[in-house]
Amino acid sequence: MKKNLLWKSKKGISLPMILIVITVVLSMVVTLLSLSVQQLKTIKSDNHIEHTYFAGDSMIEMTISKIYSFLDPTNLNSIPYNGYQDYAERICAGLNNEPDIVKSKKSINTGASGQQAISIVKSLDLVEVVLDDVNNKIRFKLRINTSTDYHTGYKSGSKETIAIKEFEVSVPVDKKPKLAAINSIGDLVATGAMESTITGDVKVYGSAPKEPVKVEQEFYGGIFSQRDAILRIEGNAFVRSFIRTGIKDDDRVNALNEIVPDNSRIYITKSAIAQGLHSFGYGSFIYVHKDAYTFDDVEMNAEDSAIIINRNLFALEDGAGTQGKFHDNSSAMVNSSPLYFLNSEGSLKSRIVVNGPVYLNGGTFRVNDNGLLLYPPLGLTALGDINYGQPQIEDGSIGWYMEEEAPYYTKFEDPNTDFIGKSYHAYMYDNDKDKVRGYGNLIQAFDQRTDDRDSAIKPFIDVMVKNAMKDGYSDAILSFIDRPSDKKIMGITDYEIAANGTMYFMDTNDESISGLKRPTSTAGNYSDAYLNYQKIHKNGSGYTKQQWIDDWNNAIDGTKDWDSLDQNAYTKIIPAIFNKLTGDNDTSGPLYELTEQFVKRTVTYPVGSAKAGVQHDLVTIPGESTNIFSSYNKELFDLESLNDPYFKNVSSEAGPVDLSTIANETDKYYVIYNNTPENDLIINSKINALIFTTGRVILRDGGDLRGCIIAAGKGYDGGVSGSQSEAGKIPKIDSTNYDYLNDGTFAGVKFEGSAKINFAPRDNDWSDPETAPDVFFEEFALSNSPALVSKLKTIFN
Amino acid sequence: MSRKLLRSNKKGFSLVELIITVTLLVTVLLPISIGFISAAAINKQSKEQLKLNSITRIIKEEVVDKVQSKDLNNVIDNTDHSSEGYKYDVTFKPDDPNYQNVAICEVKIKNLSGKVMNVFDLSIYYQE
Repeated sequence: MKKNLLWKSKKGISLPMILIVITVVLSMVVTLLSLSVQQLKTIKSDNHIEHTYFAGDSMIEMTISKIYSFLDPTNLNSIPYNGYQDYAERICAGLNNEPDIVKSKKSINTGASGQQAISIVKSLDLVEVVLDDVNNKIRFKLRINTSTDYHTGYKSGSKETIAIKEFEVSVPVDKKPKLAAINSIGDLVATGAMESTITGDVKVYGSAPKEPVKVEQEFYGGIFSQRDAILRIEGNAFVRSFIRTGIKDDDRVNALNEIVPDNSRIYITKSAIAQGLHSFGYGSFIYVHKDAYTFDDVEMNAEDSAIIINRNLFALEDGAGTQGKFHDNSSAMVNSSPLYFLNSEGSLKSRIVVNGPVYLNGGTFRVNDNGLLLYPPLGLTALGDINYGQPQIEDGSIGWYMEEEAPYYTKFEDPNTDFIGKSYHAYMYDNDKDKVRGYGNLIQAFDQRTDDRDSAIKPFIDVMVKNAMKDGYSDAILSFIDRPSDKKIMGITDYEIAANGTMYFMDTNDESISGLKRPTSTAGNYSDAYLNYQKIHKNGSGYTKQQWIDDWNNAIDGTKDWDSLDQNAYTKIIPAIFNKLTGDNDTSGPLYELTEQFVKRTVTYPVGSAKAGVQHDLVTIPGESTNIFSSYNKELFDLESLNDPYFKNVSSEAGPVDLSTIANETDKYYVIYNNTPENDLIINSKINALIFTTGRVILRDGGDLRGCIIAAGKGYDGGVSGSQSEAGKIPKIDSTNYDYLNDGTFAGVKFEGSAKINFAPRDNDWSDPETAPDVFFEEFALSNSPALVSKLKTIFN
Repeated sequence: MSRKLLRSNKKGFSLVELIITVTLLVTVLLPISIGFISAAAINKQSKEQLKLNSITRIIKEEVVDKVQSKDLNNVIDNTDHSSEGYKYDVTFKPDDPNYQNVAICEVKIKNLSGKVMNVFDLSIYYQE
């Protein structure tokens, strides 16, 4: 009714209609206005947020400034260098500990004058580290993460800004490396019947073969004891060449024309980092009380001799890459004596002994799973070439085949027919596990010794050496020395280890260990449960880095007779080893550097030549044209201007210089400076001195040096003239100059009689701070003019 | 019928009716018009602000680049963005002694008639 009225009414309709239209239009206008205002607010807020990000950017810029300030070389001097990765990590840690950089709130002007945002660096992370070894630079990228709040009329909320920036620092080739007792480019040679002691660390670069692809390991120098010499180093030994005893095929004879045994000894009471540990001769031994780190082999080529490592063996190089194309860059543990001496009675007594875990990253001759050489000699690429396919026993060898009663480190199966479809190592395990033994190496057969005092070590070594060299192989089969307990054996390897009278084979079924392979069930006397790592195999699960570290630490904790361990050293070494194993990084690099204080050695392939050669490059100071040794030379020479009576420049003296007449006040300390390499400096009495020479220092009976030696050694330039500190004059040894290596002509320091050098070693292990120079200079200061000592500290601290 | 009635109505609108109608129209249409005009103005302002935001980012990068390349004269003198309708001034403030090699500057973005449209501070690291 009403509806009808409405529609039919002809009156009053216009007003409601207008009101409706107005309402609709007003609503639209209000909405439009609201949207416009909202849009404007959003855009202005966007501007506000933009300013917040500008403040965040400013914070990053200021943080970069702080980082650059932190990277000032004088500031970095306090950061120890143990490899570029570690160095970058330490820098990053240092930055994170700086109170004014990370987690520090800062007000930053932004927007209109006087308005401030609050910004904070939330984190500073290391992203990537690269070594530029051409320019001696370490480049690393840091991720800087800031959070910024800016409240005025608008609230920005916390806005994060992230920047990744690359920084660059010089490789801290220390212009002033800390002094050791001996710091020498040339060899340290001890020869003749005598017993000499060096109290302090020894840093020797040492001679190397002209052609490193060849296997003439007798062409290596380093720390070289021979012909009855007993050299005792109460400290660490850092050697770029070998720590070796004996002269190969020494033809020294007695009055009855009988071959005289070598009988030389080297004791190292702390750790050794060296290219290799190597024995030639007869009746000699090398003893390392703590750990040995090698880039090449621990190799026995002597009769009735022993190489003994009391703690761990880290054989670092895996033989990969260019330098791995020859076996001397693949680190193994090889007792070749029975092969070299054709099973002579003496050779069957020789042993390599490692009392701690054995880590073997390389092999005798690097082979793949099929037993083929990974790096065949140049020109031999066909499978049928005999030199190409010579399956080996890896990595600790040699093995002893019972049927033939003969030692092998090769097993000449035909890879074309004998183990097709099967890993060579699996084949060998299946076919030879009951036939092969390993007597040349003893791993963890003896308890480690904790006491490195002379009185404690000597009897132990006598016992151990007698046991190690006890009887020959045949007798040893029947009456083996004390066997290690099952749980004690620890180690890691790629393939086989011949040791402890048995053979540890790799576990060919275990392909899940991320590239790590472990020796497993042994032939003969031991059960599958023998190795510590069996639990991992039985689980069938992958073996992680952390598990290995945990196992390692458990082993350390469980071995109560160990020295108090330097945990820092293990913290550094263990990740480094795993980086090496996983191919992430070159871990031997930092250890090489410790042995290359003055000279860096590389293997080169000259253009047009298939023969590898050795190149010796004097280590230059970054940013300067001079090398470290020359820098010492100049700085020490400049001391002459002080006219201090205890600075002695003997460069112009004629012939060998007897220092007992030069440094004759035994209550005084001297600086002896010699820039004439032909002038041998002779020590045959008690003197207190810091000795620098571009030639050689010779210690004879009665020599007693309180101090240290920096020596280049005579180089050769078509002869034996010049100094090894001159570019291009470091000897490259071959048959033409081999005798100069053996008789110590090329030595930087030569012991010809019983003598002593007393400096001081580091407190515990090779990674500890070197405090000996400070103590020495304090003593020096008590007897000499402050000006001279002050200058010395400037040069060497 | 209606058409006939309309045409036959000879009274027309009274003045009062007209005034009321006009008043009503003005009352209604004025806010609507203002609303539309305001919306248009705000939209224009938004558009300009958007453009300003955009140019602000460009100018910020430009100032950072010039300071880092140590082109300091250029950073002060060559500040014309008139093609986009803006120019800017850079004023360097005293260095903060806590931060080496960090230039602190205030950037004022103006329109072509000189009105300051945006102000912000920047800290910029430059290498020696």
